[in-house]
Order: sequence, then structure tokens, then C-alpha cells
Amino acid sequence: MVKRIYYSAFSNVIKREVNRISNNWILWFITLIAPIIAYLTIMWMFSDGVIRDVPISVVDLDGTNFSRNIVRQVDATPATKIAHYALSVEEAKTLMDKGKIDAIVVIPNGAEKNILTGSFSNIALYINNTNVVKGGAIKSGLYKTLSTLSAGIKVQTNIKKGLSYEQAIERALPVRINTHLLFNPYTNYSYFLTLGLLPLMAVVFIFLGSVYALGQELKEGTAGELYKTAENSVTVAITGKLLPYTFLFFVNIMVMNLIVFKVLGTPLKGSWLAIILSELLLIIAYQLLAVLFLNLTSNMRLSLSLGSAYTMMALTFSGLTFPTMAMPLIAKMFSWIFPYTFWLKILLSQSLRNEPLVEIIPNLMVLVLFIFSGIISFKGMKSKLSDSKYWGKD
Amino acid sequence: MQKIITGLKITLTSFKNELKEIFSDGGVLLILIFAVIAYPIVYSIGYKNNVLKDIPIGIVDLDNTQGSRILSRMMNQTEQIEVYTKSLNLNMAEKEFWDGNVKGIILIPSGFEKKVLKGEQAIIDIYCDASYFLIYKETLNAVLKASGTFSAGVEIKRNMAAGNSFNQAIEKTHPLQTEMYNLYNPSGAYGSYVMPGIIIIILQQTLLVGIGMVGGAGRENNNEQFIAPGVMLRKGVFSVIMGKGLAYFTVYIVNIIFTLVWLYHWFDFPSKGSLLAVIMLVIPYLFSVIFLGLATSLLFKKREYSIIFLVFLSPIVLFLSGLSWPASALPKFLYAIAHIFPSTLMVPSYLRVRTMGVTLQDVRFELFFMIAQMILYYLIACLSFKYFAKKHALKSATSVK
Repeated sequence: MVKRIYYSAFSNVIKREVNRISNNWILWFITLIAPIIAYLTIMWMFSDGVIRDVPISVVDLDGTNFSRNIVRQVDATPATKIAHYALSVEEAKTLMDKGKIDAIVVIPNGAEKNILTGSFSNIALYINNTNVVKGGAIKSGLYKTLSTLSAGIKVQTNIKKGLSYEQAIERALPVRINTHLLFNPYTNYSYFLTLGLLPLMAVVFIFLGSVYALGQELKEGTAGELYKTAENSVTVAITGKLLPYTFLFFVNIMVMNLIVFKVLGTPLKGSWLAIILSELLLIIAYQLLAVLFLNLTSNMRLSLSLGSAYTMMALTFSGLTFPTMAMPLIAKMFSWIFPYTFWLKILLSQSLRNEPLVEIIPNLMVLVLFIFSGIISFKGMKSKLSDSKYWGKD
Repeated sequence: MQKIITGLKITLTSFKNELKEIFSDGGVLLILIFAVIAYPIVYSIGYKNNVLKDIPIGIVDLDNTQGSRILSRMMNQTEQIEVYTKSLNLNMAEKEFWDGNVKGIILIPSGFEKKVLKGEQAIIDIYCDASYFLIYKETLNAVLKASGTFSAGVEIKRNMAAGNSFNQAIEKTHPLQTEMYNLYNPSGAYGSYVMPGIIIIILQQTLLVGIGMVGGAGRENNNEQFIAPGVMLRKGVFSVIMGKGLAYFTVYIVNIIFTLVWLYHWFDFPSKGSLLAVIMLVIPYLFSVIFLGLATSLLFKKREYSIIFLVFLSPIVLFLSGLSWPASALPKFLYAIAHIFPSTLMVPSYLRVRTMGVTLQDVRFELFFMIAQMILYYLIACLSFKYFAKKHALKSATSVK
């Protein structure tokens, strides 16, 4: 029995493939080396975690103890760092044009006097909102600092009026918001970017690697040899050909899991078994979509070009950066052509949200559907593997 | 004089040959023309709506007084959130949440109004889905804004009750007022923020992959004569590389008109800068990318290699340009390495010139850096092509023997 399997056409195809892989460093590069380099680079890129010390400028037109205190508090804001003390708004504005600073805080003349006389003073905050992520970080950081300062002044006034400290604080802030973050303890943007980018890289390499491995047989004209080894069965040829890569990509995805769950500390609240199952389906889905692309184009390089666009775009349309719910209908529908979209829902559902397993079944089914769309193209691949007129193109 | 004319002739021949090669190769055209047009259109449609509006939220109003209803109304009036349901208890709201009908729940406790009227602090609970970043951020911002407005109203009334005039009451409410001015992208539109940078990256990556593909195809077909014609062994190398570079530049003039003019017009991306300043940045940028592409194209032995080795770098290069994640938050060393890619300085300087409308004077460091890059990559491309031609000549000489 064991002997029969070992000498079967299927295992012959696998043995042939293992041999091919071990002699071709490009295949190692695309299945393991490059993805891992990419994972580490992305991790390194976002290792700071939060946006900190964005350079800003302060224009202190008051020059009093009060205004200097404001400057100190602004400087202590974690998101920003005072890179420059300007004498006028114009001077600060030139620095912004040069890209040296991204926000200007202006303390008006007479700020201290106004506060002491029970009036108010207006602090102007100019923010470069070209980059909305950076602008948002500056905005919320400085807003917090300035409103704390404002509340502090009110608390002091209330205490002077004879209220206790607690009463004074409650007076100063009639309604307080108590935020409960569901599912995800991390609210920094870098965390979301990493969580989306690592699997995207995996998917890009799974697709390109599979197209390259199978497409090479067509380009180099070795497809006939593969077909013969598979004893003229297209199913045996393709599955046997791709299975060793399924294994390599699985190892690759496990390294990714290690980074996502162990190094980054993404909560794993649901079923890890479901996540691994979904990852296996994701690998197979993209491998078989590679077969579909090759079948449609019968051209490796064209499949690689189209495939890199196809896989790369999945991040934008997965909704992780800009939510799909806010996209036009056509873009929403476009997001359905990527297995990644559905897989990401499973990942979030089982890692962060801990939803009942029933919730992920539809998404798993969609992944299976993608796999079937690849299997359908097996029939068309038969002629491509056996007929030499399809070979040698690139 | 004679030398210059010969040089120009070589440049012209090499220019024509390269253009012929580009236009006779469907695969290269797919990258250099089709991708440059299709990518930005698809992305722009995805980001077309720009801002996140009307996030469905459930409100559980356990207080059910005039005060709590005013607060709910204020929440509904914010641009970002839309009250989807009002439920009487948390369980009902929770069900809506799991069914995906609402993205967050706001709980106003009973006794809310009473506390506010007594001058005590009332607490509202907000539960929001943090698994999608932007949804969480916008929900929270909207709730903070609404409750801030509500709080201010309460305080103003309180101060007026204490005998202050309306104006005095307002001043007392916010002793330190903050006036925020969002410059350059006041609405915080997502597409206007992200698309200009993405376009710049697409121009670079398609050029690098496309040029690599032409080089790889030449080597694969043993067409060394095309890659490095014999004239290179003499001083012709400078003219040949210039001709090759001009060929890609010509193709990209069309792409530039499409992406930086038409696309801007269709999708209404912010454009404050003078056209001249934009052109002055784009020229050294394109040439440094082209020469970098030519220098690296010799590394690819087969035409598909440029896709395999370069495509995955695109998102990494994008983030290293500081487009999404500020450059000041990137690891210093990694950011320094990223300067190999012309996009790293082009993206921020282009955004300043095009979106903010600053003068060339304000981006002169970036401009000089890119010009230096252009010259350096031109020399590297010439040297590596010369080296390649020598090796090839040696090889063919030995094979003849």
C-alpha cells in the first residue's frame, strides 16, 4: 500500500517538484526568503507604534508666566515636539512651507491678562492636514493638552469660589465620556497597518509564486514532461505540482502568525484552529486562482503582471484602511473579487472579536468557492500542459 | 563639433530602438501604459467618497428625559454618525451590534439629566468597534464633539443662572479657547490625501518594473547587441543611455498628462501649485527613476524577474515616503536607506508643491537631492552598461575562437 502510493504518478510529480525547488533559488526566494524579509521590514517600519514628536512651532506673542506654562504643556504633549520658536505667524508659516514643521500654536498678546480678569483668550492652532493621519494625531494631542489647561483654569476658579477639589472638577466637566474599546486594545494606526500588510504580502507571494512555478513549465516547454510524469492526468499534474508549495506557503504563514500573535501581541480570543483552517483555504484559493489566470492568459508573464495588480489592490478594498461601507457601490462590489476580503473578516472575527464560529461559515464557503473557480480551469489546462503550441511563450 | 553630432546621432538611434522595443512588447506596454492608467482610476474610485459619514450607531437611552433626548439629537446631528436605532435596553442594542446593523453603542444612564442639573458630573458610556481603525476614530470624535457642545450648553446656562451675561457666561465656559484651522485639506478628505502620493509611487514602480522587463527580455533572447550596442565600448555609452532614457521619458510625458492633469480634474484632487513648479519637480524625478531602472535592469536575467523582485516593494516604498505614516516616526536607518528610491523625497515635496502650493524655493533641498540622484544614477547606469558591454564583447570574442 505504502509502496503503491510512493511509486504512484502523484508522488512522482511531487518528487519531481521537490527536486526542481531544491535546485532553484528563485523559488526559495519567492516562497520563503522574500516574504520573511518583507514581514520583518514592515515590522521594523512601524516599530515605533505611535506617532510621536511631530515637529511643530510655537508663536508666543504674550511672553508671560501664563503663556510660558502653555508652551511647556504643549512641549510635553507626546504627539508633538516644539522644533522652533517663531516670532511671528509668518515666520512659522515659511517653516511649514519648507516642510520643517506641521503645526503652529499661536498664543495671543494679553492672554495672561485676560485670564486674570476672568475673561478668555483664544489660542490659534494651524495644522497641516495634507496628511490626515498625521494631522489627526497632532489635532487630538494638542486639543487634549489645551482643553486640560482650560479645565484646569476653571477648576482653580471654582476652588476660589469655595468648592471642594472634587466638586470643582465635576463642575468643570458636566458630561464625561467613558470609552469602551471593543475587541481591540490597540488604537494606534500602525497596528492596523501591520495587521493588514503582513497577510497582503503573504497573498502577493502565494499568487506570484504559484504563477511562476506552474508558468515556468509552459514557458520553458517542460509542461509535457510534467504531464507525462502525471501519467496524462491534469489533476494529478497540477495538484502534485502545487502541493509542495502549499507546504512552503504554510510554513511562511506560520511565521507570519508568530509575528502577528506573538511579537505584535494581537489578541487571539477565538478559535485558532479556525484561523489556521482559513489560512490554509486562503493559500489554496490563491494558488488555484493562479491556475485560473494561467489558463485564461496561457502566458506566465501576463499572469504575473495582472496578478500583481489583482493581489496588491486587495488591501485598499478590504476596508482595513478606509472602510468599505463608505465606498461607492461599484467599489464595494469590486471588493468581492478578492479572497483576501473574506479571509480578513474571518481573521478579525476569530482573533479580535471572538464571534461564534457560525459567523465565519459564509466567509469560509466563499473561500471554497474561489477554490472551485480554480478547479474548473483544470479542464482548460489539459491542452495547455499537453499541447506544445502553448509552450515557449512569455 | 563632429563629436557632438556623432553623439546626438547615437542618442537618436538608441532612442528609436528603445521605443521600438517598448511598443513591440505587449507585456511592457501593459506595465508602462495600461497599469499607469488602470491603477490610479481603480484606487480613486475606491476612495471617491473621501470622508466617512453616517456611521450607524445605536443609542440606549435609560434616562429618557428632555436632556438625554437633546444629547441624542446632538449626536445624530454630527456628520460622522447616524442614530440607527434607539433601544430601551442594552441587550437589544447588543443584538443589533452582532447583526452588524450598528457599529457602536452609546449608553445614557438613568439619572443623567438629574445629575447634570444638580451640577454633578454625568457619565456616558460608549462602546465602539475598534477592529476597524477609522470607524472607531470617527465615532469617538463625533461623540466627543456632541458631548462637548452639550456640556458647554449646560455650563453657559449655569453661569447665566449665577448672574452673568450671555457673553460672560460663554467666556467663563471656555477660559482658554482653541481655534483650529485645518490647512490644505480642510475636510480631511481621504482620497485627496492619499491619491497624489499613490500616483507618484505608481509612476516609479511601473517604470522600474517595465524597464527591468525590457532589460530582462533582451538578456533572455541573447540580444546583447540591443542592450549594449557595440558603440558602448567607445565613448558612445553616454549617448546610448541618454537615448534609452529619453524613450521612457517620452512615454511618461503622456502618463504624466493623464495622471497629473486629467485624473486630478476628474476626481477633483487638490491642486494649488503652479504648473511650472510641478513640472520642475517631475522632470528630475522621472529621470532619476528611469536611470535607476536602467542601472538595475541589467540584474534581471529573465523578463519576469523584475515583477518577482520589485512588485512586493511597492507598499513598502509607499510607506517609507511618509505618506501614511509620518517620516519622523519611521526608524532613522530604514528611512535613510529608503532615499535610494527617488519617491522618498518626491512624495513629500510634490505634496507640498501641488497640495499646499509652496514655491520651488521651499522644496529646493528635495529638488537638488533629486537632481544629484539623477546625475548619479545616470553615471551608474552608464558604467554598468559599459561593464556589461565589455563582458559581452569578451564572451563573444572567446566563443568565436
